[in-house]
Amino acid sequence: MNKKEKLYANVIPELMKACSNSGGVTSEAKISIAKKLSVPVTAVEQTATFFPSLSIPPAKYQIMLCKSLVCHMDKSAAIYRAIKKELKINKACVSPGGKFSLTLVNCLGLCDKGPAMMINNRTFTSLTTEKAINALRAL
Amino acid sequence: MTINITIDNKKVTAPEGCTILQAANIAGADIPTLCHDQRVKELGVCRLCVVEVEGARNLVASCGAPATGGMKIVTDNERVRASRRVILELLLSDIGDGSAKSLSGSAMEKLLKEYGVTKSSFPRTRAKIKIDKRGPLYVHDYDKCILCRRCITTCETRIGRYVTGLTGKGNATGLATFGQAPLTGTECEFCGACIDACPTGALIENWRLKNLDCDRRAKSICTYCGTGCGIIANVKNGKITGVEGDPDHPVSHGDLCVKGRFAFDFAHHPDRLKTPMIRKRKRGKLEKATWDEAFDFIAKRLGEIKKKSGPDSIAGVSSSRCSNEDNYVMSRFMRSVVGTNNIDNCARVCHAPSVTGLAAAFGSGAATNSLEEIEGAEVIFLIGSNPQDAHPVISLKIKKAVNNGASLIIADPRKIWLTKYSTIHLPLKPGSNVALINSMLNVIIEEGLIDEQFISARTMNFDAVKQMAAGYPPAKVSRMTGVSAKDIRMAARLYASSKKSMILYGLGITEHTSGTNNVKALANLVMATGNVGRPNSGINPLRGQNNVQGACDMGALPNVFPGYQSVTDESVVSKFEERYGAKLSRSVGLKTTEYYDAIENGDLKALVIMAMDPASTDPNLNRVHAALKKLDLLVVMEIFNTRTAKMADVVFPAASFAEKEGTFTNAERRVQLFRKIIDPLQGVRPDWRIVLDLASAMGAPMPFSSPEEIWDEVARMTPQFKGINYARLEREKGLCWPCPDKSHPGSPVMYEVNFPHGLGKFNVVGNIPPKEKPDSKYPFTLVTGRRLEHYNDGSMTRRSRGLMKIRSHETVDINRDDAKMKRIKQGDRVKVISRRGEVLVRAKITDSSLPGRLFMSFHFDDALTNVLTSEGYDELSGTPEYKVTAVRLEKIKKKTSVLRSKK
Amino acid sequence: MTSLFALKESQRRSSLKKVLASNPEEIIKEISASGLVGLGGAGFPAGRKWEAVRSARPGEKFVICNAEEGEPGTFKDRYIIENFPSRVIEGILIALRAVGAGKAYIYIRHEYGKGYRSLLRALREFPPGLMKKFGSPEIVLFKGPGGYICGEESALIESICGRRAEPQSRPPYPTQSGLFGRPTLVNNVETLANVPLIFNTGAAKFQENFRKLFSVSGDVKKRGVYSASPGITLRELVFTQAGAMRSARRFKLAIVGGLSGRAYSADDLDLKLDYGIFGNGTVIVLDESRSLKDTVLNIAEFFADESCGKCAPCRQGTAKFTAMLKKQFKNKSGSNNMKRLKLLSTVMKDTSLCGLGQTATRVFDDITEKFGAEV
Repeated sequence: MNKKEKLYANVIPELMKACSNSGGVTSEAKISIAKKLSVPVTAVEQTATFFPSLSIPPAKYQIMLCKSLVCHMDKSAAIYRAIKKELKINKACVSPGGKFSLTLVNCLGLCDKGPAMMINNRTFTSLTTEKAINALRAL
Repeated sequence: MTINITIDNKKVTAPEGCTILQAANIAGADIPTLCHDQRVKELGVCRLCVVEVEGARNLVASCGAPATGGMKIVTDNERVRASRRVILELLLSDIGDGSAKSLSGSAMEKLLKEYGVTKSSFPRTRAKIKIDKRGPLYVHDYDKCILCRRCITTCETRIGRYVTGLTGKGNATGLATFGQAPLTGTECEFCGACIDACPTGALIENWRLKNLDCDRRAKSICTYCGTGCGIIANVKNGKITGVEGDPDHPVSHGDLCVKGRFAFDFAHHPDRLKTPMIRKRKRGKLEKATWDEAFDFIAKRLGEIKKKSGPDSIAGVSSSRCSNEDNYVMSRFMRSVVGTNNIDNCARVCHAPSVTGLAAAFGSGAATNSLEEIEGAEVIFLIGSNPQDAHPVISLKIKKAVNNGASLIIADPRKIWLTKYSTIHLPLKPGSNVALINSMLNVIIEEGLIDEQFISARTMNFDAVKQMAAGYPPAKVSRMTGVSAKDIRMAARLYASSKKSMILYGLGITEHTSGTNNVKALANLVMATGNVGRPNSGINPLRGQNNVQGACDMGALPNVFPGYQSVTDESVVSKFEERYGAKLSRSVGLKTTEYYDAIENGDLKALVIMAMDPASTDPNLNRVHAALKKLDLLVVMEIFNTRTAKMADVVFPAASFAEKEGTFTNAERRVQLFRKIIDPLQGVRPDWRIVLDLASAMGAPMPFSSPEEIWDEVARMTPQFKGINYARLEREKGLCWPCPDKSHPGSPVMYEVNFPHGLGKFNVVGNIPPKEKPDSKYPFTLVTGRRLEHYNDGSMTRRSRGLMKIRSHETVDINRDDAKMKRIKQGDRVKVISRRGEVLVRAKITDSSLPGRLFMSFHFDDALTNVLTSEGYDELSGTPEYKVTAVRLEKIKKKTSVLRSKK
Repeated sequence: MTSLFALKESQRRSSLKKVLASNPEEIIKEISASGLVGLGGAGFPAGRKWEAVRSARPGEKFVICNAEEGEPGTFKDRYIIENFPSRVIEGILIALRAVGAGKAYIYIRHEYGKGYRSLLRALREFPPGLMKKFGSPEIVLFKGPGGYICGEESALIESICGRRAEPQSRPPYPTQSGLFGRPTLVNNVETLANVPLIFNTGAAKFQENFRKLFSVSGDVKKRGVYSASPGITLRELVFTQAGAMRSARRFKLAIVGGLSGRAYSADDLDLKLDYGIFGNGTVIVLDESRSLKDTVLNIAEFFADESCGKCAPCRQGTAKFTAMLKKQFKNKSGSNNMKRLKLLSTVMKDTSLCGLGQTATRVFDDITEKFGAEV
């Protein structure tokens, strides 16, 4: 690989680093990444907007609940409704005050221990509605 | 190598390595495509081109799949048809109301018709997208977008810009500029390539939104730069409603720049001059007059002046914007009717050194190769030229060459945009060209990279030049030029590494006190490496104006007749005397740059100017204005009331290029025929007509009644043009001279066997320093040049609404650190002061300006840049040193009411 | 669970020693002889793939371990990485040596935090002397930003380069022109983890004793990772290994190979899960209480979410398919809608650029064929 390719290959690690709990990567951060890596800012944007993980709704605790087939069979939908109710999640997928955001995601690879969710970087498995709510209340 | 395959039960032989689509085209099978674009890499996203291949489980996209020997392909059966129909319906489902009517007028509409798709049976799933009409010049109607990606792929790969990008994922994928910025907040250069690429009309010109249909479409040649692109004008109700590129044009292939594409509305601007005007009294006003009144006025005055002070007290300036025919009658008028060789054109202030320098080396002063060959060059040495702004379609060819693996060497005191593509950038000090080039020659000789065979067989005087080059070792030159010895060596080796090395150069070479020497130095490099007389090599001056090559070719020069036949050659003069039926002068006339001395001395009393604006574009304008005011008679033929026209005694309203026919000659010596697009405006006449009528009024009529007759005389009198006539030009899409007879195909590549005088000549050239050097009082060096969006004095482009939206005023481009040091912020108003005058202008901080160097163009009326420019000039050619002026910058206090240059 | 991948320290050292004593051609010969195929779902013979990269034009080459594991129902790679990370490292080193590459990427989905840490530890603890003997290659742990399509090898490569994870048209294949345009070997975690085992027992014995990892989930008593010889019947895997159905409700359906795989009814319980059938080894079991409408809709939504959006049939098709199913299930639009769904399914299969679009409707097709009335 040449120098240009080498720099470009840092786009995703840099985006992931710049991605915060405040809901993704800011325009300023994208511009600064573009400058740092000598990559056009539209190219950074193309990559950034492709990956949903880089634009999870902002919150201190970002809840990602699996909705794929196996977890769905385990009634993840009910858990979703319960969390939504408990935290009073609005149309923008955040709780009042912005402490929590709730997003449905696809398979987390924890199907043997489902239903599963992640809150920021922590995984929570074998969920029941009760277990999920208790975990949230503990935060 | 070929392969044998079967397509639709037909046996086909195709070249090895071709795609199934290419093979199908050979077989005559018509495979539909939407995202396919031959000029960029295969995208394979629309899947419309799928075909059935025996043995493959799924259908195969033919656009990218290689055809292999023995393959059996079916391009059309029920399975394939059904797939294509479903794909079309899938795409249509997210457009408008899902009916084919939403796409009427587009390329995709044809496909929908062919596959019988009138309405999509699939539900809409993509959210409706509102049309973005912010523009300027073109709009985004992304509800029609099928995400074929042709627009962004064209922009990224061919143009080299990243204006719009994909956003989101899956069915919600869209296109947007970063931060939804309007186009003026992006790096869009408004070349329109994306608009041409869009198959659905999602990208569409403003003008086309208003006028989808037209009465007819008329071809012509662009009136702006020396590339000579083909244009197709849409005409409705006698007016040009819009312009497109001509895909069949042999040079531009459908490409255009923002000016060629969008700056045609000047032709219909209300400021167009429509009646002759005469200033009856010296300090009076210009008043409307009839043509006869104007001719009589001039005939009388010229008669008086000629009688009192002789024919050489009258001079003419012909036009590098006007046609060959306009130029020829102008020069014939000055020679046979006025009786003087005082005829010149604006080449004087730009490429005259090319004419003298290349003539001194090769025997002829024009480009050696054709523009198309740029694409096949292996090494391109670009020096003193910024084609990205001044010749955008030529820049496209450079970019294409680099994309194909060519190396690009750039020598420019500015970090121009094209350095993104260059292997090496030599940011030499303004005015140090000879030192740099001679040093490169030094390296090439020292390291044994010369072409000894070529030198001994086809040139003379190498030994003297070899001795001269020894005095320019890189280490010594490094200090003079500000370029490291390492880089000089690298550039030299790179240039000499190929037999397909081409030099492209511009006014950064010619507009210097050492202009002619600079050109000769480059010619030395070319001959030393044998890079001339063969394809994809040579040395090509990038002629600026659309017909500056032609103006020179037509003899609108003080020392030559058409075809550079000398005015001091008795046999030549007699030939023309016989033709014209008049006695002709045998002494070389004045160059335009000598006019001002002559006016101040009282030797020059009258000036007839065809379509030029020296009061805006000559250097040291305060002096120019004073001199013009001193003339006894100033006649101007123009389309707008320019600064020069405002000072004239007689002004004639001329027809624009769109209103007449004739020929233009572009930078590669290609004579191109252009025909009328619209009828002339009420009251105007083509320049050749004005000159003929003036000649008649002066009792010396010339025997022409059409441009074609004028051309035919030129061809008859000039060996290089003898084989060129309008019928051939029409049929063969232009011809490169020399074209000595009717069956000659033209000469894109020159000097393949011999130079005109036999051998090429090496010329010893020394470094002539610039007239002005920066000092403590004037510490900055000002380089002047062009900007993309405007043209020359701006009289045409500043009257184009769209272009003014992109760039509406001048700026002085300053380096970041210099700005910091002088506490100048982006947009601050500053005074730029030279030894001759001052200009008020806004500052622009940019990385393209290196420390100590500033850049300004001369396109704007409110920042008369040439008030500042140097009095230096090249001795041999007279060309002014626009490229090196010593200036200083002063921040002005906030409360300055008026932005005007000091008179 | 299975300790298939456990190796004693002495076995490890002797396997690696054997590799170090072999040249690239010999290593690949052994891989070919072992019969190892791609275990991430594609089933392509590993030896052939390795040879293609080895014999590609000289210069820079790369090895990529695909630990994206995005296929729903799949967690075997997670299991290997968390419990036997050293096997993965060893497999990579052997591959690097065999193809002549000096740099490897382990592309691991960012959600696998535990797995990432496990690999990091294994890399740090790998005997430096041994690493040196393998030429001290650069092994990069690349955190994938996520998304099912990142598991597709050319899309994965695009994302390492910094671009959208969009599959590329082939040819050229990554073995010829992959990462940064260089010859690249992309292999699944499980495939690479098996490589040191080949050199432990020798190719012949390996082939004889080869066991595939199966990720079994859904309505079984014991969800988890099972190892079994290819050819094990569906019945045995579900009812013997995984402890049979988790409730009294009967077996209705098994989705084999993940959502992009095939669906089998009770009539197919004696199906041998052999090469070409097991895919990536994922088996999701549904009992009789499961709504098939619900199931196919969930699957359709999954693919509409995960479609990268590059090619028209998949970008448009997955979204329309989902919308039409929703409509179908809401107001029972009848047979015409079903006909259009079947046509759309065929066109997506026939014309999509990559496997996602080509297989998105396979389970739907199987279910409608076997359970027509219920859908």
